[in-house]
Amino acid sequence: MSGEPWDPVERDRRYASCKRAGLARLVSEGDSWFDYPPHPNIIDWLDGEGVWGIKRFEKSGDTLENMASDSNLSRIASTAQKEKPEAILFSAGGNDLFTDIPEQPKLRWIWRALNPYDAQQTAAEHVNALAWDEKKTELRRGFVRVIGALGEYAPILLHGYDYLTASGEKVKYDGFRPAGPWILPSMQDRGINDAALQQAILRVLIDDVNQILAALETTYPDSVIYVNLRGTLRPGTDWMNEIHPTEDGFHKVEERFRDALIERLPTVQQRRNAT
Amino acid sequence: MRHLSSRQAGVLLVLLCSATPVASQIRVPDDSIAAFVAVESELLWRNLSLADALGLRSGVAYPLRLPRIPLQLQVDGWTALAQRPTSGYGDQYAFTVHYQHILADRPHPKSVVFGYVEYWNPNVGQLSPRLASRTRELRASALADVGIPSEGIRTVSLRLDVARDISRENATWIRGAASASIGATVQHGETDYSVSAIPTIAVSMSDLRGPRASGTRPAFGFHSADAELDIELRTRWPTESLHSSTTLQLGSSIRAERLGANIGWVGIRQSFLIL
Repeated sequence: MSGEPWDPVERDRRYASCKRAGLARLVSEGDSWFDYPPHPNIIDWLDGEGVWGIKRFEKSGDTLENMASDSNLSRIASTAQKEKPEAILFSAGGNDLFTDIPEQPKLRWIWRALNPYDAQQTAAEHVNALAWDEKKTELRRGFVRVIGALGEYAPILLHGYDYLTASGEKVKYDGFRPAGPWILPSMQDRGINDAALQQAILRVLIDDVNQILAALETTYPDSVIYVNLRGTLRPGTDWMNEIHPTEDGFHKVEERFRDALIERLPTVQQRRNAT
Repeated sequence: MRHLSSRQAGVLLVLLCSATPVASQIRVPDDSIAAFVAVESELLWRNLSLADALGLRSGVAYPLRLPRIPLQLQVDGWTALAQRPTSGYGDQYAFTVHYQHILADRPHPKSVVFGYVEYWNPNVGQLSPRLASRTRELRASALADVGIPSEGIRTVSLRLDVARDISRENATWIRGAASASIGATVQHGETDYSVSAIPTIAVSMSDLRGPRASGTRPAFGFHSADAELDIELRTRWPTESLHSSTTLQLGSSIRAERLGANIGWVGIRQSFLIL
């Protein structure tokens, strides 16, 4: 009988049963795209496919900086060494754009990545080059640490999200805990009120994150499978709030992961076995 | 065989090609080994007082891991910790065989569970020498998980139990229950701790006489309305196969007059799960 899907003990119980049933093994680590409290997320849908047993480490709100820490990577590496998964699923980087910042206690880090509104400037020019370069360097370093620590055990599936939306939508957890919005207040504080410009700026940021991951796949083809999720979700329909898809949206994203596991993973595994 | 038009053939081809085929999908039942022991302020079974004493509850569940026939064996005990009863059924022990049939897998699982139970009440002769100390029961349960995404509630577990005594009482008992879980997980070193509050509401109907009553069988009708709250601390060691849970149980029940006065109870339970 099923238990609460967010509970780590329940997740381990499920994984043990899936192993005994002979399902292929995966390890997952990540943020709310793998562990979204209000409704089923990518991993929940993958878990329901009846093909994979998934040893889950993800936690909603987690940052790449934390996931790439020595202690966390050591914990996952020892599990991967023991469990011998076919792949490691990894979702990170999003929350690193929304950490607290001391100079604007009510806003998130993304505020630093934005320049004040200037009607003469393009969306790309509204991105603070210095702050964003620093963040991209942090993200790349974090992903490289993950690849270095876990890549030897199994190919790692990475994604760079779809285009976030500055909708200003809040979210409620457990019926009473509010969270967000994460993006719109920072945009408004910078004077960026035009919805089309907001969307174009977010497009620049998400494209850059995806370029980092695509480059990592090129550099480490035996360790990284980059899953491009851009264009998967319909704006305004498949987003529950600014940074999380609806349940149907997560299901669409899961299909991309499923396709990558079925169609692309075997090729990478063959290459790894050949070397 | 009916021939397909070119349009129908086209649609069929699109359908066949649109989804990545998933070779072998397996519905995975819960097949963990579990054990628990609890001390409760009232020795209750289906809100009937078995004895006016503190109760020791205990149980062990052991799966028979047969391919395609997921059977679970379970032994449960209700043991009075103070004076042996002279008016209730007294100590009770039960042996159950369950079969779970999964109708839908995650993320919204639905299943039905069929069971056969053998009860043994070694002290029942003190209540009436004519009462048999053993009885049998057939049981069926329907379980379904639903969510309320707009309220941030991931899972509401719905459960309908039907049980029919086929030996001593020939009585029927039906209970509908809904529970949800609110909680958080904290990682400390290698260990994950989760704390959760699990409220449950239930209403039941029966034609059970109650252990203190005699005479003609009552008409089938209201049995009890229950509200329970479990406060649970679960500990997960990611690389270990043993997990533990400690639960503070608070319960209250509005009972049909034939079952006795309304009642409130507290309990503390320690559970172990072997994966």
